[in-house]
Amino acid sequence: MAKANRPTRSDTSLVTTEPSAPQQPDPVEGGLIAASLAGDDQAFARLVARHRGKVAATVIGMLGPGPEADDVGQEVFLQLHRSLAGFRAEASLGTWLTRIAINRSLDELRRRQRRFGRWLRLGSDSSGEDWAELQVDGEAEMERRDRQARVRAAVQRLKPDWRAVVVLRWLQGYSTLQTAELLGIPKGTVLSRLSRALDKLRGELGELQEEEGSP
Amino acid sequence: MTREPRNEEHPPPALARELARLGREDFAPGFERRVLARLATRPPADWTATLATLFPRVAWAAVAAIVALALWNIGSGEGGTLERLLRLTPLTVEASIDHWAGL
Repeated sequence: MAKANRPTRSDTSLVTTEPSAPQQPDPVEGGLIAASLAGDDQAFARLVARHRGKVAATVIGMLGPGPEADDVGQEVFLQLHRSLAGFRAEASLGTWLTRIAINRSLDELRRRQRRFGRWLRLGSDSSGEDWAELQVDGEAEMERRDRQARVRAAVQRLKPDWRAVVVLRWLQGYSTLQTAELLGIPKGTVLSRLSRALDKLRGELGELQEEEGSP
Repeated sequence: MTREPRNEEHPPPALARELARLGREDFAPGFERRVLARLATRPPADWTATLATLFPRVAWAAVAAIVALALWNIGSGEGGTLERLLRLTPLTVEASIDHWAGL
């Protein structure tokens, strides 16, 4: 369920909470940061490539796939570029990026809500399926895609605050404590939001409660 | 490893699998190239940031200058610097220049 390369701590010099556990500095990453600071764009591109998966999971989980998520993802890395000079080598870049990604996604959702109101959220169930231009091969694959689209749509219908904990805890595999630290909320709040989100997901995706052996 | 609270609820396995699969979604190919392209066209954003940084300083400098002029004006009595500056309308420019020139 959790991604193999998930971060193990949540602090950087650019965020406010203390680390949950120490982390070994990554010499390769340190070298890429130094080269990026010296103006090496290719080094920065490699940094982006190393962390794009984490940022994509967060941003797409929050906003759904599409150009807006891509745009927010780019802004996360632009912010990283601006902040590199103040970044401590021993800090977890991945966790810092996840925090920026979740905050920018929440900002984008607030902007959407201000601009278009609630009707947009209710009408956005397709969650970018058209943009993704899915290629469907065979009935089983079609079912899998359909199931995934329904899960994605159900996640997109969650309130943004609930969605944030679901994305960090169940999509990204952070612990509840790390999720609390990333969002700057108490652990109990994470647990209650997870519980409410799960109730809602169960209500909308009842068939997935018994289904087993999916690909 | 972070200790998990005892009362945490977990999604059923099938739903957990689907959620984890969603967590592996990625941006469209060429993402790094798009980031670099935006870095190359960043000057407008930099200007905005620079202005946002400078604005408070410029505003405080303007306030300080006005206060200094006002104090100087008070110290100079009638016909002080601030009073002269405030009188610099097109109709009084010539008179002010004459005044400053000691004519």
